[in-house]
Amino acid sequence: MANVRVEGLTKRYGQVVAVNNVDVEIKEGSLTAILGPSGCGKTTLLRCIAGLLTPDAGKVFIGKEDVTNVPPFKRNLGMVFQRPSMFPHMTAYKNIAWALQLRGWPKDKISSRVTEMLKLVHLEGMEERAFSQLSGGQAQRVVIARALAPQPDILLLDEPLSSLDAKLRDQLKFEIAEIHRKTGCTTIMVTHDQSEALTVANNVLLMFEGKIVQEGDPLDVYRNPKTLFSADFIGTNNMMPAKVVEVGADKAIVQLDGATTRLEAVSFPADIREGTPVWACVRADDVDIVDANERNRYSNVAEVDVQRSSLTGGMVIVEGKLKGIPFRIHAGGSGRFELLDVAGSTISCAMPNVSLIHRDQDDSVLKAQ
Amino acid sequence: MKLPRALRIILNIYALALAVILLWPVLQMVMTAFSTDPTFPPQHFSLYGFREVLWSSFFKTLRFSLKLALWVSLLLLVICLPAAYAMERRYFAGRSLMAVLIFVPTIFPAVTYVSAIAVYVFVFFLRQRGSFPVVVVATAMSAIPLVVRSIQASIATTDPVYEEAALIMGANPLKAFAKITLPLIAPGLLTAAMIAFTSATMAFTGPQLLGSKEQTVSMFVYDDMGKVGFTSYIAVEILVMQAVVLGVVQTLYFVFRKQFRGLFV
Ligand SMILES: Nc1ncnc2c1ncn2[C@@H]1O[C@H](COP(=O)(O)OP(=O)(O)O)[C@@H](O)[C@H]1O
Ligand SMILES: [Mg+2]
Repeated sequence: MANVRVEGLTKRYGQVVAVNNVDVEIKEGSLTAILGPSGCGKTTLLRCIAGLLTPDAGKVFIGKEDVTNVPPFKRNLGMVFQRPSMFPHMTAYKNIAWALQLRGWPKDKISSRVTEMLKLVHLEGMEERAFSQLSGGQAQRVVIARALAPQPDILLLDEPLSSLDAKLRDQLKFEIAEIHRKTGCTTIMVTHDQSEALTVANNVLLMFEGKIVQEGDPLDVYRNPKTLFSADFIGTNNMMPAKVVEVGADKAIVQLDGATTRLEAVSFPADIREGTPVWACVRADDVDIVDANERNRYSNVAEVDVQRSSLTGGMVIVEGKLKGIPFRIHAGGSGRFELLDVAGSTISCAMPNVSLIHRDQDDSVLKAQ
Repeated sequence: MKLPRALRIILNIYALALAVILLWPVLQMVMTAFSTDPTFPPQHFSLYGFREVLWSSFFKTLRFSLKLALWVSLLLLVICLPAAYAMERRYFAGRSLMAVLIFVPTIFPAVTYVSAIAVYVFVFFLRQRGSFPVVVVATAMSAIPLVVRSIQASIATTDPVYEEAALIMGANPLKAFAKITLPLIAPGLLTAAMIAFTSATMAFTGPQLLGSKEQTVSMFVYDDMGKVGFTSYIAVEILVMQAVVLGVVQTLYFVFRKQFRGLFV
């Protein structure tokens, strides 16, 4: 086991800067997800860590060692790829045993280790199966077992679930978390699927256009977006233009542009001052509908003029305007069905978690999504 | 898509006619081999042609052709495998130039290229002219484009992810190639070898131009035809030649197909 540190890493493909001057540290024993939209450079970053790509600039450290110029076969890693990579000409047993042989395991220990690994990934008794005799999910489990068997310093997973169907993906997602808990192996998982990252990882690196734009535990990344991209990429956010009117130690007060409505924010950048233009962000699923008569019991209450509300199985989506700004509510709970006939009326909404983001950031991000 | 009935019938008849036209010469040759003269329909059943062939040096030249083909295919595999691999998987300076140069032999008509090699050997290796190794190398050279292309195609259809997985697992590049890529492309490699073998058994003007001390079977048949014209005797030679080459290729193919993967795994 070891930690991974990346310093000033840059990788270009011709004109495309796939990874742009990234500094990041992945803690020993963590399960870190690199989350970002397709094409943001996740795979490239992971392959640089693996040694399958040589960076144009920067360094990669595994533990204390600078491995930037160490070839992949000397890095003691395990890796699971997006595409199926179980060797089709070897049985499940041979796939895993060869990994051990290559790392110089003694013959008498190999057999029991293979059995142990197959048990870990719930494939007991499937030793003699070939790739063609396993389902996609089973083959991917063999690859996970193969990667972990020689006790690598780091386990790298590049969208390990994306080739599987939805149900299997859900199941294997929890198995990966379980395997990580049992082995404690430092794991880096690349994914474009936010639910995968938020559910499985204990640390999330949000990546956008070759850069890490936010890092934190899943709940923090979900609730407190630090950049326009974070707010837009994860979940559904309501973005309201506002100006800072007061900054305190642990809260800031903003006033919505063109209105008298004031909101209290608990998450905000350290460098905001009175008058700084910001986006006040409120998650669509982080809104409580409250009784207008009791609005004083809550903070951050505002009125939303509902235009439409619709049922989508698990939740009710309410769309309307808050002081003229488009506003969306994803309502859950058994009370949500009452919201199905509020179109045309006005409801009071409490917003317990408001986060602020600088508004001078390039807002092309929003339009691109 | 459902075609009108009439059109379907016409298409069927056309396909059948084409098959007959293509197959006819072969049938005619077989019939001729078992009769006294090349006529249709065949007049008298006879094994006269077979007796004649047994007495000639036909089988000696056939053996030489098979030996030549075996060495040519082995040499071609050794030369073409690394070239095909490099061109498919490695990005190096001059890669596209190499891709073009490798196809030089196909730019010229086959005879021209072989003649060029013959001249080259005459100028630089006069002493080795006609020796078996020179004949092998020269015959192999003209088949390089075909074999490289064929091996390259089978590498292209093998996902590089397997080799990368092996590297991460701790195999050095050579080991990853030998244990993973090679077994995975083995069927394609075998096909390439069989193509090379078949084409080399038919080597015609090349060995002659290079002053080969022994005659190839196709040259022998050609000479005979010049002497006696197309008789049942020639038909037998061609028939036996085809049967032996096809038989050897198929046998080797089935033997190796079973063994090939086992060699590396
Ligand atoms: N081999 C390559 N050649 C050229 N461009 C590439 C290559 N691989 C990736 N890219 C480009 O680099 C960027 C990052 O790609 P990648 O790391 O695969 O993204 P992700 O894994 O996040 O989807 C993309 O714009 C992609 O088009
Ligand atoms: Mg990717």
